[in-house]
Amino acid sequence: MDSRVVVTGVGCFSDYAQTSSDLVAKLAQGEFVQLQSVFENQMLKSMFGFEHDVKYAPLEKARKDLLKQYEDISNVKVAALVNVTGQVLADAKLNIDVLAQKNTRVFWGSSGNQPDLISFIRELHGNQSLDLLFNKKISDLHADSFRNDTLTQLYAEYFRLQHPILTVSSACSSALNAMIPAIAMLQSGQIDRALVLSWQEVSKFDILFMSGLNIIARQGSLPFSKNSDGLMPAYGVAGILLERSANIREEQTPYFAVRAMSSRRALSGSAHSASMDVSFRSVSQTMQHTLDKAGIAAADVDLIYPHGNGITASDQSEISALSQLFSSHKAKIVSYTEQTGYMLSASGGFDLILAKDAFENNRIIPIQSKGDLELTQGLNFVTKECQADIRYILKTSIGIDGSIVSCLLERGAHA
Amino acid sequence: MHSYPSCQSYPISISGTGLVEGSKKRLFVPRLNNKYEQFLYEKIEKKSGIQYWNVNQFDKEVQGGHLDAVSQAFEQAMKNAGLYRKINKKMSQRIGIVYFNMYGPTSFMNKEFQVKEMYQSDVFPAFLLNNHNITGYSVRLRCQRNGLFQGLELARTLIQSGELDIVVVGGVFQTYSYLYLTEMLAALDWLVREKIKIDKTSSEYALRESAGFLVVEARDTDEKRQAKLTLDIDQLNAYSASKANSVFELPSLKAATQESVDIEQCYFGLNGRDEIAQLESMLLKGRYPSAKHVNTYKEWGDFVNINGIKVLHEHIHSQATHTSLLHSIDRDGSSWNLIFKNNHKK
Repeated sequence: MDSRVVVTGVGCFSDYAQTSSDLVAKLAQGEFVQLQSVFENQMLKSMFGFEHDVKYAPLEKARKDLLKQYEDISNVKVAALVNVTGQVLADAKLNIDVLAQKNTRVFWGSSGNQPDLISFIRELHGNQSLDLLFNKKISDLHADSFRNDTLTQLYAEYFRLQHPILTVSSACSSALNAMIPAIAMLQSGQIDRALVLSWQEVSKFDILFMSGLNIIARQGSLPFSKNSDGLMPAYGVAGILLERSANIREEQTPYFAVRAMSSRRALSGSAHSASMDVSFRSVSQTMQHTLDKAGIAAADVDLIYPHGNGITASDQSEISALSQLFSSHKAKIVSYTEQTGYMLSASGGFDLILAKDAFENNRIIPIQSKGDLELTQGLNFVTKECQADIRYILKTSIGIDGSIVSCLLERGAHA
Repeated sequence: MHSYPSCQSYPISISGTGLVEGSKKRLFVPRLNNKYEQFLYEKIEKKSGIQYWNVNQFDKEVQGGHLDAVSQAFEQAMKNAGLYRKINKKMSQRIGIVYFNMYGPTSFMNKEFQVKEMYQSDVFPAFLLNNHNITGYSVRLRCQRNGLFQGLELARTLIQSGELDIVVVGGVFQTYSYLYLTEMLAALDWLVREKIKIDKTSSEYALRESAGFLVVEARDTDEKRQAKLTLDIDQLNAYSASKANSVFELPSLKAATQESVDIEQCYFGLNGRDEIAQLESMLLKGRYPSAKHVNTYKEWGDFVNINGIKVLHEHIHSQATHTSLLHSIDRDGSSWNLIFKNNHKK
């Protein structure tokens, strides 16, 4: 039996693009995401200790549309996940009923449900009767606002799932890390179909956390440019459907196969500190391990989607790793983070949608940057649209928790 | 009704456990300056009859903070498995951690805003990797009471696929007043939705802070390493209640009552509400009348997401030789059966 795992459907939802074809079209046109201020007013900004205007892409515009579209779903996060699920299944030419089948399983790569930070501030500082009367948000401080299964329950009930959803989190590599157990279950024959959804809500909690780590951009997030001063977070949901090649029906298209994956943890220098900058050796070892697993040489890789989050130390580390493995080879490299915003947990999922386009159309949409891309020197970054005969694509994701995941995609046998 | 294939053909076992329990006993009362806390407390008292919240918290002098407890429990598990300071470079990539806590990003927010604690509590306790030289696939699960079962299932998948040889599964439960009050309120609302009559006879509730870890590996690997204490996992099955009309028709309980394995001990009550424990007890007693039935909440108090680890920790350190069943249900409708037995080396 052919145990290869192939991708048969993709979908996404973000401020930048609300379908996968929309994503590809906007990138091809060189569009950039519209950002807005995190804090609605000066008072809030001061309350959280920010002097500069922090910007992000929070899915503000699309929220109302989503709730209108799914009147039976009260939670906007679940509505976005349901929307992407519908896109993925339609792309895979499957009915939504397949999710309720015993051979299907759903995986989420996500940091999970997050409550409104303002509620906590009020809790921390104590509150009186008048606070409860006038600050209705204080009641957000409820299990329903922080429990992950508040969301999984709504989703599972909507699609009548037969198995619990497995929600895996490893910061910004969550999307790819959720694929690893999905692929393992498919290859072992436990399941025939795996829907892997990755999603990231950007809450004030995230903003404060990332700001505490000094990784939020003040001026601009310009991945692979020296003058980038951090990342620019964006809300995003991405989804892919994984199936065993042997189970693919005639009307379906296996866009590409997941040839090999490798996931590692980089140890940080100090025993009790967070590892903010993953060493380039760990990144290159993870990529090399993926290639070894697949029995592929670096020279065989045609296209690479790096993580490229806009944090200079992280970008520099990635560039060093890429240089070590690919500087003398043909592999082309491209990154779209600056255009779409940085989707954090979901970032890896979005690049897989671009992989579908690259394989299907034998083209590479070029990187667009407002920066100088100084870090890319010596590497084959694609700055102009080009046609290419692509057989292998390497995708790498890096999490702030020191997780590194690498994934080798191979053109489907059909193409 | 459906479950995954049992893992009999790919057996895994637990070769080490570590558990650190909070030893500072206190009676929780809502703070005078916190009206919301008082409001929740009174609402729960009215709905459930709970008047006394007996909480065992981590003692700063003994266990330290919750991250210290995590560190100690992890070290204990590695020592029990014979892996402490034995992980070399080659092994390092073949070992991973599956970590979970109860409240995710909110876990540290009753204190001052501390980025480092936030990172270790919520993002990932990276010190575990650093202190024990672990570099394999490691993730945090976003789950609730069923964290152990999801973790064991993930560990089994990773081991059987060849991704890892050993997975350390575990996490921490720390108490925060506004979190467990709203958690209890949500549990009571869930019972109402499920048309289960709330039992108001018990006026006390016992919460236990704890951190616990299990070392999971393929059965033949631990045999090769000659691990002294091992607990074999015979079956681990996941169920969803999405298609059940009520909790009375829970597929996991139905499946448990249809098992052909001779179960001599049944553990239940991991949900923390006695109404659910009574339901579990009734069905399990009908199927296994001569087995010993243990309501874990009555036995030890509520360790919340660490309940299952407490059971396995106590079991592996006992001389019990019988086959046992551990049943768990969470409010998202997922429920689990775990069948296990000790297989200690003489």
